[in-house]
Amino acid sequence: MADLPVFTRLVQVPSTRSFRERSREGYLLVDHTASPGMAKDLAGLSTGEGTKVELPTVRCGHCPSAYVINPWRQRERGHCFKCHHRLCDECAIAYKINKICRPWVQVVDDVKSGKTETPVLARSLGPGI
Amino acid sequence: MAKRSFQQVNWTPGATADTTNLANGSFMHLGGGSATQLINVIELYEAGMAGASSPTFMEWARETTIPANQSALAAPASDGPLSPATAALAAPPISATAVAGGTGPQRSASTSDARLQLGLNAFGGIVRWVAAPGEEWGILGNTADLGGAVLSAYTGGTVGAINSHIIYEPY
Repeated sequence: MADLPVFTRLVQVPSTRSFRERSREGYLLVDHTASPGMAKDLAGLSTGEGTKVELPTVRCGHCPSAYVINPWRQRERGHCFKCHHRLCDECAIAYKINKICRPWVQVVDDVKSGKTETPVLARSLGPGI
Repeated sequence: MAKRSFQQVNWTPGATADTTNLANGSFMHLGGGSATQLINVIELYEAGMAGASSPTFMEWARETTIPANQSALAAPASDGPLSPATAALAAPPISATAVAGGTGPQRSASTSDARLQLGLNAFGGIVRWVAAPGEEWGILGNTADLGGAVLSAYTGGTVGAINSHIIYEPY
């Protein structure tokens, strides 16, 4: 097993962790198999005539936004190491600056319990707050 | 706390710019029924019904203006629970396709608000988005921007008729 890549070794070792990041992925289907489709410059994706596109989507951990995972992205993706969740670009930039982890479930809890009147996202908080 | 389906049949979205009131019959608005209501949007589906090529720039977006004086849904549009055993909610979510003499919803133009680009050619195109469990699109409360979302068409293209549904779960 020592000559296998690290990831392969990890998935072959029995673990108490059953969580996989991919279990959080949603699904987007754009089916133009029976349609003239959309020009690439209009849709941003190759969804022309006869095409069928299937893409994973994820929800940001700090706000209730879903977004498509760009398979060609080269920049690092946002990630919060406190709640262990992917972040959208807006929340990732805020997290780099203010280091505040305020998961979406906490935002909901605070509104439900009356702690905050309106949703307060981590990205709207300044450093040290 | 039960899944519901809000649907509309054979409707033509109006190509409308951001932060502009959407005209009656050209949108599907979903918003919180109270200041603390959470709505998880689980699935969005659009099926093109047009008889000729119609690039339609559909978007699911947050609202900077929540509609006022929403009209009750008119058939064949509907909003109902998936399970027949569902109890009525004290504060039902607001689902609307028109307003009566009030203000239509306005799609947010904020660069920090999320949108799902669900464009399709309404001549036979199909778009479906499904969230993973626990990772749904959230609507919280009943005030802008997080308290409402709208399915509508952005400017451009030649909009065509679609059928669509939104599966969601209010809490």
